[in-house]
Amino acid sequence: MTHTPLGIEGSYPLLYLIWLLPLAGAVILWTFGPQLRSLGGPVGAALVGTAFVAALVSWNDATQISDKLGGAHAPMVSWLPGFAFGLLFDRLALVWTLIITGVGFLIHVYSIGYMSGDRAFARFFAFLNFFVFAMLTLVLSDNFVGLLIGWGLVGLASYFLIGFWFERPSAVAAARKAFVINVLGDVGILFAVIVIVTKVGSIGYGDVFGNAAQAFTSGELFVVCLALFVGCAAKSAQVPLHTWLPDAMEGPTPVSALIHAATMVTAGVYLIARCAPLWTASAEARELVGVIGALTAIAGAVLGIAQWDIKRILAYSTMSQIGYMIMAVGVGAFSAGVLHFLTHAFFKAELFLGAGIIIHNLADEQDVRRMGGLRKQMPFAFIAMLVGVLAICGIPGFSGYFSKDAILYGTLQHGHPILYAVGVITAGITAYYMFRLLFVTFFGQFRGNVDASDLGIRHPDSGTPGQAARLAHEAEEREHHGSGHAHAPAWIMSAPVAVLIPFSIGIGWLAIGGENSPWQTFFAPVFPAAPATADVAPIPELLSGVIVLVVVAAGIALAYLRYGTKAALGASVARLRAETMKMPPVLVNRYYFDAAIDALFVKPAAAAGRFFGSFVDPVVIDGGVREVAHSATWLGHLFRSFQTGLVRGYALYLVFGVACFVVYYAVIGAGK
Amino acid sequence: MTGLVTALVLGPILVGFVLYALPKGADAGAKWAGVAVAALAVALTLGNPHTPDDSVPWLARPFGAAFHFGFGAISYWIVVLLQVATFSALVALRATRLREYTAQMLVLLGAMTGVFLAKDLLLFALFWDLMLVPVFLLMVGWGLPGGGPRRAGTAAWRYLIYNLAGGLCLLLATAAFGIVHGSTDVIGNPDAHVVIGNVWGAWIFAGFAFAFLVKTPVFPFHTWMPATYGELPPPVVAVVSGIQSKAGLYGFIVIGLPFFAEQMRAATPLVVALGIISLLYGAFTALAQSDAKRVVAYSSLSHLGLILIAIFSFDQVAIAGAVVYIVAHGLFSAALFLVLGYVEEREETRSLQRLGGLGYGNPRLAGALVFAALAALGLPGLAGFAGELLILTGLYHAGFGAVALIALVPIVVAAAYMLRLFQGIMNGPKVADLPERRDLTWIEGLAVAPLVLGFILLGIDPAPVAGLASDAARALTGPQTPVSHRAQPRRSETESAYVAADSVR
Amino acid sequence: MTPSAFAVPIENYIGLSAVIFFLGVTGVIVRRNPLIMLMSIELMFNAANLALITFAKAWVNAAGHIFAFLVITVAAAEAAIGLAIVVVVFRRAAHVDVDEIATLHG
Repeated sequence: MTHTPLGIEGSYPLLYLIWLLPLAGAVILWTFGPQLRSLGGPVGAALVGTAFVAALVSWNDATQISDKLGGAHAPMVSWLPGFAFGLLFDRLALVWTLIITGVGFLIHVYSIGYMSGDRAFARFFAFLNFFVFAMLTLVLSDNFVGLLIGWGLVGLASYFLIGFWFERPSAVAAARKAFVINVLGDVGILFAVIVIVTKVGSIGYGDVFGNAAQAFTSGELFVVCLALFVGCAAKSAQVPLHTWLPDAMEGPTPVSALIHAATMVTAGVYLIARCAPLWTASAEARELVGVIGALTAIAGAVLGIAQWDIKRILAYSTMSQIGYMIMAVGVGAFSAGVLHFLTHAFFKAELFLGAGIIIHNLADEQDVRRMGGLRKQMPFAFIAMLVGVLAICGIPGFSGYFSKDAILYGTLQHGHPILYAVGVITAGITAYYMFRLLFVTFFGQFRGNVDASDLGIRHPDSGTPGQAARLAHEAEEREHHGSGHAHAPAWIMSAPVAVLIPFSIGIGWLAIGGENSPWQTFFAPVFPAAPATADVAPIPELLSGVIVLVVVAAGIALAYLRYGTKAALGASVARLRAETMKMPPVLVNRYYFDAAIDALFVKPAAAAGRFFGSFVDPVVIDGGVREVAHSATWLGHLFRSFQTGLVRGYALYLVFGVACFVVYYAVIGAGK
Repeated sequence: MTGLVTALVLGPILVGFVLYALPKGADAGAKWAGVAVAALAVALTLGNPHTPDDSVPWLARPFGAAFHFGFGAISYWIVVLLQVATFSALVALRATRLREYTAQMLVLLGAMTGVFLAKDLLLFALFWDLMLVPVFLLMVGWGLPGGGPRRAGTAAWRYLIYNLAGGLCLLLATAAFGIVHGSTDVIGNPDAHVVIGNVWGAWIFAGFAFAFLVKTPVFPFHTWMPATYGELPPPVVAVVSGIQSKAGLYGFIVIGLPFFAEQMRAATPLVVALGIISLLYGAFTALAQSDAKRVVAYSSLSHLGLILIAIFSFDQVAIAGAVVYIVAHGLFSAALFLVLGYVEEREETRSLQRLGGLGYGNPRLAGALVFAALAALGLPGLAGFAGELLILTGLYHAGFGAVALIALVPIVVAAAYMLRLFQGIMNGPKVADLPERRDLTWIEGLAVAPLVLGFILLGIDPAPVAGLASDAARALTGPQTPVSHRAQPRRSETESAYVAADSVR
Repeated sequence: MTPSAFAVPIENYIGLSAVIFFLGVTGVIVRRNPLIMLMSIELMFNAANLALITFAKAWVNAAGHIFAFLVITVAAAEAAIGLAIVVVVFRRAAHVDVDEIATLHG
């Protein structure tokens, strides 16, 4: 047992077990999927569950404290000196590992029900297991390259799962978009890595954080933070790299819950929290990240108002909530950001899984306009969603209250009143659109049998992208398998949701007690103390909490007045139609981000490619080469003209040649 | 084991000629004999990494030359790659006139082994030209013209003319080198003390450089390449794209760096500019190709441009990364071309506009293709990434920060065109008029497996390749400043790659 | 070694040789009858022979004689082949004009 700057070095067999079990699952399920058939799901779930238990058992490894930081450190291979790889299991990694494997296990179980009957059932679990492995690689790595490898692999897993129903062109396009934007993020981190290696000479966290102050100038440090943040922005759907996340809802709902809500998209939060020493040292980076986070929070929330697809509403709320987390870790309130990750993982997973139950029972209907009155039809889903909505809105007692409050007060503590204001307004908007979701979906009359055009839905068959294709696919599935996905017991989908409910309420209680709360004590050794610029907030925490609550209550009241009153519920069809018709185009077109990216990058790149491939190559370069070849022919023609066939002409040339010799030797040669 | 290295070079060529002498019907036997030769070559190479050189005096006048073959730090893994790729190309081979096909492939194997293992410049130049012959014959005899019958054969001539032009310059440069230096037995010889004067040096280096740039190829000498890769049968293009295209880069490392350092430094702005153009040009062009093989061909242009820049950065880590990337690129481009060949064999087209939805009925084929495509787009964890990371680190360290930044662009574009390739073939709705054929057979799997395994293992730990190359690169580029200028002294285990490269081996 | 005694000065020999040579050259260039052209070529040969013999005598060196014999042999061979060609052409065309035998033009 040696103490390294990172943790306590030793042999931790359980750590390898946590890390490699999901990989083993992925390999087994990928290879023997067709043989395992419906056993694939339980096998995948069991492996992730075992990893979760192993992580719990290793709790003490992670919380041990060495001289500087704590945790278990297990070195592995080295490529070249400076490029040494290993696993690090400290408190931060512990939190993420428990969520990845714990929530991951629940979602695996849920998927057994949700995906039953799918033709590629085992392959789905292979991808899910692979995702868990990749995410664990990301959080357990002790160095930047290992992190980057995990970073790339989660992007790949996300690609596979978004494009899981790969016969749907919309899913294929969404998967590619997500992957390419994520590669853009990878490239940002790659650039940060090469700067770090060049300046510090090592990729290990210990060396980098230990030497950051001496190795970097403040400008370089900002560049490193900026490059790292490009990665965070792409992975965590921050403006302007967020456009892939709503499209990613093309994937099966459990995927949206696990990857695009609970775990992968929070990797940016993890990275900034992990690199807390770098962010603490760079004020410019904190400023930038805080602003981008706040911008994302409010932009996502506003777009959440304009959505009709239940999963897209949740996707924009995810984007908005991650904006909160990024804002928190950006300004330096690391433990608040991580707490919000924790609570969000539970309540957002619960929201998605609840939505999944609805979608599943309504034969893949995702448009909330065609729902309504589901409270009586699906009381369990209603309770689950209700708890989730209350938690995300930050109603006191529910987990979201504690984490959101901590973040908002944190921004004040670190001297960012504008960010605080943005955060408070976002909280109000969040309350509005989440309750809008709740009222439209669960109250009033069921509108599934109402004609789509009466609701203002223009293309009833493509109410959600690709839904028609998917329905066709499902129909084909039924032909092949005899039954749809109705043969899984209902409990297998509700049990994981039931487990999530108490956590969605209670996990935030860890933060009760301010500075001495269990949460703060847990993370005290990990995060550096905040820079003491503006440690004193202008208003007390209690007042801040009250302000937030008032704004949230206003949001809820507005949602109630527009969607929840008896009058509104009675005329819901007409009202929804009117709202659909009057939706501002800027929101419908998602601020034109997609159009702008398309016009600025995608189209020019393809045009350049076509120009190179069909003009420069064949015309300019090959044309040049052809000219060289033609010049040989031309020379031939030139010399041919001397070849008259006249013998006396040849004799004349001969004489001329001799004359040249004579002149040369007589005139020039004589001169020497 | 003396004689082993020579046997690795001449053995396949001899077996190739013997196969030609066999009776006409011996197709299957000939193929398996070829597979056995390739497998044996892999086993012998991997089993005897420390084999001494074979050297026999050859010419005394007008300059000294020796019949000298031997393993080198740079060439060893490239030769292993070549032998593995030849094995993969042969094992699942289906073609008419299989006996002649196999014979040509073995001659190709021997000739290319000769290029990489030659320690004498004259031998290097001779095998350089020899390796064109089987490729030309294979293209003429078994080529798959993509653009209709009119174009059949033109690509073969184009390949031959471009590469012979390069080969001629190489031969002239070699002869001039021999006359100026007095001996051509210099490759990998630390005691050679080659000093080529300025006037001659520039011209001799220009001759070598032209041959290497055409072979690699680099913009604007690249137009033979998409045509050739499109027309060559896939197993051959796996070997040609995987390994033959690396001969030029190999030449820059083992001939350019030690003997023409000054000239290379002088040419750096020009070559780096060409490399950057290739990098971007190849990436964007690949984005708009509809022929699957051409997508990969242009991606090669892009990737090889990066390796070229790395070599001209004179940076130890960048050159180690270049060697890793050479091997990685060989593995994944060979795998890509093989799998695309299987697709073409089944569906009788390689147009991305016609293909689609094959993933449905062919999960194993899709799996093989996605692995190769992911390695090619530099997915972290696979071999291409390890090479890219080391190269970019080295470039940044060597003061090519802007170049490193530009080199990030093609990585993103690569994701786009590789996914376009994969999704265009495997994803989307089923295409009605495509024939439904068998999924990847076990023998095709056996062909692709060593390549896939190779780039996974190399991606997890490139140390065997990188360490060897890093030491060689340090010897070639001389002592360098440590990476870190400002950091405090650190413990030895975290010392920079530039300080303590020895500890890797 | 100085040139040995000559009854006639050496310049006269050389001058005669040059005159004969230029007669030959002019003949080849201006005449269109191949027979005359062949004879003109013979003139040039003999001019060369004269010069060779003169120098051989002047420097007492047998190489000149040897070359002269060589030239005579070549001249004989040339005459044989040349006349054969002329005969063949004459049989085909009934008259001989070298300017009309230009089918080998490029």
